[in-house]
Amino acid sequence: MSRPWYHPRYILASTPLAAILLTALTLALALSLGQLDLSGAPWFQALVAILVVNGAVCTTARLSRLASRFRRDPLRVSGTLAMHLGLFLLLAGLLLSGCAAWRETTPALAVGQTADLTHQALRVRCDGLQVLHDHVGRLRDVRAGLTVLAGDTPLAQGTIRVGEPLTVLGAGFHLHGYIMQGDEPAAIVQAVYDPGFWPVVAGAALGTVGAALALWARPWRTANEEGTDDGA
Amino acid sequence: MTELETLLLGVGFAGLVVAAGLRWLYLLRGDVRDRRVGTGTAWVGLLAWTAGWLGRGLVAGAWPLATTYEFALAWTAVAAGTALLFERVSGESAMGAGAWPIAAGLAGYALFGGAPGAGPPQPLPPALDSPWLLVHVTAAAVGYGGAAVAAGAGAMALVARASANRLLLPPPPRSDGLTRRAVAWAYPWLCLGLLAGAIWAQVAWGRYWNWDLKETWALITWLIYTLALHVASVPRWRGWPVAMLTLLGLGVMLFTFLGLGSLARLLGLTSLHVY
Repeated sequence: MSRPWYHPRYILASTPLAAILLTALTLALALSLGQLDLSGAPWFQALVAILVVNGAVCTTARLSRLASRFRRDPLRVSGTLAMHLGLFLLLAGLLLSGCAAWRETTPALAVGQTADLTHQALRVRCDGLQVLHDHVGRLRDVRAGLTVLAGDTPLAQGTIRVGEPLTVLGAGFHLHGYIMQGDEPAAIVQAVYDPGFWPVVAGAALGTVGAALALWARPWRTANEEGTDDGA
Repeated sequence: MTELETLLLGVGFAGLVVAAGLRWLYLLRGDVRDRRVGTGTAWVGLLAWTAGWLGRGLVAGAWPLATTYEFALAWTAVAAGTALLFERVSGESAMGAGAWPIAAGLAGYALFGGAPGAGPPQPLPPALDSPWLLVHVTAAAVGYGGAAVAAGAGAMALVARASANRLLLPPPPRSDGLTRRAVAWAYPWLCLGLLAGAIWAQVAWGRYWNWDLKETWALITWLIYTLALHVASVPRWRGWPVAMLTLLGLGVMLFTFLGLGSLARLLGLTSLHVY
């Protein structure tokens, strides 16, 4: 016997519910003009949570149908599954970032100066700082020599620049900027530990590959056909 | 901007304007010569425009996607080229009729709209000097080009409904299918653009998502196309609602590309992406 339309599982598994939730998220972000970080608002988190439940129930409810389609359309079925699994992994990474990540910015460090980190028992020493300009005075590059120490014992040493951090014990040491202290430049270093980053990247990569498989692996001759509700 | 670049881009712009006009003339009159000459003119325009854009990169010794002006050049080329390929594969002239006016509008903005970064090419500042720039901005340009084609196809699907066979447009089921095709082409590129941007932000700034003004609007754009894909999978919604969403998506893209700087200045906001 088929379930009535108002059955909770039917509603939770429905694509129209996904469309309504996506519309609500889009409107919320747009109405804030994109200037507010809504991710901490409980109602925003609730919308995302319902969307995750919707995606999970929708995917599991269709597993038997997807399994029967897999034999004749393996790429699209795999892609659809990968796209949704990737989204779940990405959201899990975001959650991990929210719970466990930390960032700490040092005061400006002139050459030879050291700063203590509060999140880990580490110290950061600036060994050198080069600020390079081109012939018309435009900034070309900034490089800082850095040593990361545990107590007085050096753990790692290297040169950092924007986009090229030094990684020690899972934390990245980024060149955050520099200021002039008199005639001498001083480096500002940001230490970042974010265990959610790689799950987010893996989830987004899986979702992207899945989207490409699900959406591109379809012959052109069917462009004008009315397709079925495949959850893509 | 060198004289050769100006000349090539001028030829490209004229080619796209003429091609768009001829394509609409074909839809109105049905003369196959208008279609053929329009397609040829579009190819000439695309090649000239692309040569002007890539030539700029050769002069600078860098991938020419570092400024608003250069991104507008790329977006124009990709939108015009994607529409040509879609026409060739699908055999439908409606793709060019929808997309080339958009491409011509983008070209007009790049040439006459005072786009930032239109002067002589400059070396990249340290913050932009990353291989992830290539992936992030190239994927975005391809995705934005596909989205422009989707919006053009969506507009044609709406016109086909309103014109009641007075124009040589494919009937709604076919034009709706082409719209969904274009969305399906653009979407993975938009995903890749966001992914590469997040990785770049992590290595450059130590945070993959900053809730920065531009990032949030890029997320809004992505949500609209995600919504379009879900709406397209519901049989009773896959017609005009998807077409409207493609137009909305392009509108938000244009706002993200052109309007955010003004919004940031108006509200006194700072953004890592507004220079």
